[in-house]
Amino acid sequence: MISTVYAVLFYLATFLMVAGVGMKVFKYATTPVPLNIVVSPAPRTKRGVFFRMFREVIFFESLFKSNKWIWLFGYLFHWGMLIVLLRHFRYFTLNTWWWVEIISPIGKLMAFAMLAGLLGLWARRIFQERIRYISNPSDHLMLALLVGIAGSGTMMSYVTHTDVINVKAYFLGLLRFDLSHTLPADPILLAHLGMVVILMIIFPISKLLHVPGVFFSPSRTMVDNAREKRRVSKWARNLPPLPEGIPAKEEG
Amino acid sequence: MAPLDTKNDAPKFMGDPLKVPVIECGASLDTNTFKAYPEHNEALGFPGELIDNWQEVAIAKIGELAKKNRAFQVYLDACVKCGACTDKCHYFLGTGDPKNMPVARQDLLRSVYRRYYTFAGKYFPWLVGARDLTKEVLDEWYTYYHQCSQCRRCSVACPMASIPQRFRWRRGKFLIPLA
Repeated sequence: MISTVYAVLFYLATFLMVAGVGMKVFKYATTPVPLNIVVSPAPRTKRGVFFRMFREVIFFESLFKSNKWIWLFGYLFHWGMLIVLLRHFRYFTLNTWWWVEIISPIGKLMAFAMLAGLLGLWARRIFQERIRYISNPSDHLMLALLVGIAGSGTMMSYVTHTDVINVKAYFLGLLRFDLSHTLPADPILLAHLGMVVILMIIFPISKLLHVPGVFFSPSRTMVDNAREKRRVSKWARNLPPLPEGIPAKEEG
Repeated sequence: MAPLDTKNDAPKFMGDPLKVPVIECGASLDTNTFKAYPEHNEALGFPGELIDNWQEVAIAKIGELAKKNRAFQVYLDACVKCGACTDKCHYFLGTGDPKNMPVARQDLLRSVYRRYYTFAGKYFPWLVGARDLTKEVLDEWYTYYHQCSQCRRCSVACPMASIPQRFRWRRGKFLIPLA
């Protein structure tokens, strides 16, 4: 019974997340950028933009420059979560990939980095007056959800182990549309998976959209070539004609 | 007239220049620009006074901007309220009014967008801080979007992009037709 409910939930959540984020990404990609609004100091070549985005995504460069505490907690959380997530591949692949074997022990430790980062960010929301002012209930709930997921996962790694062999069999079954396996009815495991389902469902309708959003941010992804290349977006071409001497179409 | 004695005549800077002020709600609420004369607005092709269905017009305009401008669309969705920009705005540093923090300034508009254009804002407005577009909100737009010089310091600080700054120049598109 529980196994079937969770199977339905996971299929539903996966569908909603993939479809929802897909639609959002499509919308971002197809919405025009009428002006070059890149933030200085900006690279003047595509190569430069690639390196800028690389530094931004890998090192959180601008956050480091603007606020060391948020950078520290955010960095711990995001990298901790990445390694922990990659470690979870061992539950979804029949033969664990070699690199997953390598990062597995690190992944177990990174759970603490993730928790420390989350609690640090949460403490800022509660105790830092300015950030308390801008926080909505949803911001706190999002942190609570992530702390819940990370906390329950860490519990299963260090305190009360669940029957991980059967969990793996269950998820390998789900991936092959074979629902004959039963999920261990372990409360911590069920709580962990339930919270993951909630997170997947709210992904495309919440601020978690900053994950695809950062790659579509015109002020970071544009090339600083406003003088070399004139931008006229499609909808702007149908506007009344410009005064004489200003070319209406793009020039190389 | 005697030459200016910069040592003694210039006002002294008081306090620690690196100190971030304690927030004080509504501290700069009364600092407003003069409203344009109706005949000046009409000469530019805008209504002279606030029109009757201004809410509908403004909400439709928000939707139109989101469709026409990727920056607007992405930033409305992607702000995580991390707070990196909160102590960057010189209007905030000078007044201590929390609505002059870039993230709060953008939220004046974003809260309205969320109310009318997002699932969370339509069904759970209290959860995400979404607000109906009322005259009070319009007055806040007028007050606080004018208290911004578009220096883009907040956009340099923003880890995502330049979320807060983009909302400033909207005032031209919103407020001239409305007020």
